[in-house]
Amino acid sequence: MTEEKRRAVGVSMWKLTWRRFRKNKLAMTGLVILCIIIAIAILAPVIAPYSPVEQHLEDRLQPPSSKYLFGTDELGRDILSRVLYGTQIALRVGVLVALISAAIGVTLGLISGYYGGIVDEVLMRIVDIVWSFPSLILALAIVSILGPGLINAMVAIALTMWASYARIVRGETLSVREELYIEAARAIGESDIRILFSYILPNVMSSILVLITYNIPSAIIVAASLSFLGLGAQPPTPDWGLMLSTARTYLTIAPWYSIFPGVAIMITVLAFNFIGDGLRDAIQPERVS
Amino acid sequence: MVRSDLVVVEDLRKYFPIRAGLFKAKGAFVHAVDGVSLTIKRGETFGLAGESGCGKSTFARLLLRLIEPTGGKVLFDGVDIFSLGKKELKKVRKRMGIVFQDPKSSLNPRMTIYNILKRPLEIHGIGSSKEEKLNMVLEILEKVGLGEEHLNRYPHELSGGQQQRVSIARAIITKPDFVALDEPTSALDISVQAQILNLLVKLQREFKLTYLFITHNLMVMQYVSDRVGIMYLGKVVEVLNTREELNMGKVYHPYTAFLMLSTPAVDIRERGRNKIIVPGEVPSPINPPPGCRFHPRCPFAKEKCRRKEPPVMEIRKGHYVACHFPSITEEKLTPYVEERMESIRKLWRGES
Repeated sequence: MTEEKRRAVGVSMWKLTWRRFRKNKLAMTGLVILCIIIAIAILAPVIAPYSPVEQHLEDRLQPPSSKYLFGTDELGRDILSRVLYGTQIALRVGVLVALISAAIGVTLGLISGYYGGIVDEVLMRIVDIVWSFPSLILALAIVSILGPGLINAMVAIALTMWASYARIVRGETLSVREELYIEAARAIGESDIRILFSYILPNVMSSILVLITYNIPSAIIVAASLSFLGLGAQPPTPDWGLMLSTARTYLTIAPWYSIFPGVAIMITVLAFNFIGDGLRDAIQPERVS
Repeated sequence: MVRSDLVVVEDLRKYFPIRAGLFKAKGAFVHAVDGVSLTIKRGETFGLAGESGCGKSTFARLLLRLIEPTGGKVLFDGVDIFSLGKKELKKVRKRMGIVFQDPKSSLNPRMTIYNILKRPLEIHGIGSSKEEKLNMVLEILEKVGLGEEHLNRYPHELSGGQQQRVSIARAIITKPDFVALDEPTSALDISVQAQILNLLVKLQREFKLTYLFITHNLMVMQYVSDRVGIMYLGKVVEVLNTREELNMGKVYHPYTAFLMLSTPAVDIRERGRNKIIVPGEVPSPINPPPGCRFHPRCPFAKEKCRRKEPPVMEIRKGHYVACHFPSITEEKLTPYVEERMESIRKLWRGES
């Protein structure tokens, strides 16, 4: 019996995952950064030196200084404060989009994998269609139908991202469906709904969780891109993508304007990706070489 | 009224279509169960033996309607289970249980033992309060040789034998009449096998259970079964009364004889002697041979066997066989089978 196995006795699978996750330095770094980001989002009103929308017209496009640590934008708004408040928006967009697309994709994936047949064929062809578009292009098309705005952008992104959940959950469901405990559940009279949600779902949960952690950063990037293109968050929202979009005009005379929101996006996305990688390795150790 | 025939199977068939890629091959089917008729009496243990892939497990799944049949009927206590709607089927499910071969895969890895055993009670509305259900779970755990300390464990924390005990507990917690045991011991260590077999026998007596006991181990079969059906390529070729005939080695189908002779000798002095194994390979169940399905492997096969499928006939009271020439087997193979059975019996008695 290996050391890990011996210690596994009396330990739930999630505790075991945490133990393996903890050993991964990169993943732990990601987690620490994420905790800081979350703290910033919550504490933004306390730690931000200015209001994110307050204009100081006499201090337009100031470089970083002791008064404005990250400098100011074209309306004299403090970039530091805007980046700090932007954390709230980025996290909200990432998490909400991931949850909405997971809810749609997981349900359809479970149904598709469990029932098979014509339902499966139809659903998977729809997934193929959604997948054949780059998510930004599809999101652009949907937003142009719904109209610009952060909420509409989030809906559009969710509608492009559910497909990967559906496909992965379907595949996992296909294999879990063959397990004897599913047959045993049917033998004791469990209903299909119950089998789907109390037997299959918990057993595919780990894959879903990994997918969510990968999904959040891509949602943040697509949302930022939509805002950059003017279809997402609208002024004066302190959205990182929107800030980048306006900063583009002043790139040569005020480079700090675009650097800080850009770096904020990068750090957030990296943190999530590190966590996602670590989580995948911790949950499915047998798939790591 | 209490029927003495608890499960009556009439011409049961299950063909699995073979799908290859996008374009389905038309008309190709695996004939897993191909026209089986038999009766399981209340309170008995009906053994079903045969090589792997002969359709034993499919048969068990059909009896519990875990899969839908291609044709035929299963009457459970007089009711055709394939004609039932969802609600009625649920009522019947309460009276049936199943235990599978692989204990690890039989239990949901994300549920504690308590939750696994509590579900049947909840589904069938047995026990009103939480305490009552807990007590019932504790009671059944004790009956299968486990205890309170196992309640909050997860399946992966138990040994194979303990997992199989949980599976058995789940199957009988609703106090069913009928339990299908699909090779319940073949995935376990030899020492644990005996414990589980004894447990099953004990539970049968205590709860007046009727068993369908599937195994490929004829030693095990002799120990637990009252009657045995021998299955070959989706068909039952012989049904015999174990309590007398199998022990004496009186068999009439060549396949049964070869199957019994291929049971490995445990006695060292026996090794090398009487080494008779079933000749040839099992033909593909996709295109079963015409006529008698055993004819390509049968040393006594004649022209008739190649053309005509042998009907099932009652050769003696309660002994059925599907062979055109049962007397050849009786004459040529029965002496060897009797000798083998005698040596096995001796071994059991410790007279080696």
